[in-house]
Amino acid sequence: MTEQKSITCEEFIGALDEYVAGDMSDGRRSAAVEHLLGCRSCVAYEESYRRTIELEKQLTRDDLRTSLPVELAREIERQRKV
Amino acid sequence: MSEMELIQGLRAGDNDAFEVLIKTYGGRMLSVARRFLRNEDDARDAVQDAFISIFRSIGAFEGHALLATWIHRIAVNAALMKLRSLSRRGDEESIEPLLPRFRSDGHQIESSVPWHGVDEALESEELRHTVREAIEKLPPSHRVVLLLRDIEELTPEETAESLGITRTAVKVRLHRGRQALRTLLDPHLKERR
Repeated sequence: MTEQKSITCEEFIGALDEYVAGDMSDGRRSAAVEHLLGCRSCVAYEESYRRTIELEKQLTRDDLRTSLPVELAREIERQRKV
Repeated sequence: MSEMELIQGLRAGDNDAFEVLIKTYGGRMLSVARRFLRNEDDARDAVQDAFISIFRSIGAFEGHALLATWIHRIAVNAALMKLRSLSRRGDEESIEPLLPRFRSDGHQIESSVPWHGVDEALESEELRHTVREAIEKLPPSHRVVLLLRDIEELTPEETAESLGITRTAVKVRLHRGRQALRTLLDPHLKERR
């Protein structure tokens, strides 16, 4: 993607990680925003890409809900005493 | 038992302290290991390895980090070690079929459509199950980067160091991994329209 020029869907999606992380120069960001203003498909893609990251992070909710199986806890305790 | 009492007890070899440690942190360590390792026995092995590492190094824990953070990092490292011992070169499926495709003029071949109902579904166990399954379908070299960067929130440098790859490889695999995961989730979330 070059500075201050219109970009394609392929170029926009190729740099989407930098776009969502706010890691783009002003020129590249302007080009990305300009592309979004004219491309509903990339608007949908960008939104679902962000949602994908949010959904990944939800998995940590399971950490506090998981309990250690009794037999595994016993085995760990046994190994400690060896 | 406060964290300081727990640490002192562990250093003193107190049985009650170890019991509290296993009870308090074992479940979440297993949850972490399950994210990295598809096989339950492998995940349990990694948890055992992590506890052995904790038992051996608790004396060296300096308290600069929270105990939970220190233990979490050990659990992640044990899972990575296990993953490394299981991985074999050349047996990984390509991620290419899961990436968006473009025409020669740079437009998407298949237009993307909005996802609906995600806000309402964020609390859903069913959706988390779908996300877990989708992550498990990612090629391991991309899955592990996605887990370390997006879920464990390691920096690009930490991820690169943990995996013995370059920062550029981390960046590329993360972006491709997210795109592939998005592709796998797309049918489920479009269906909510």
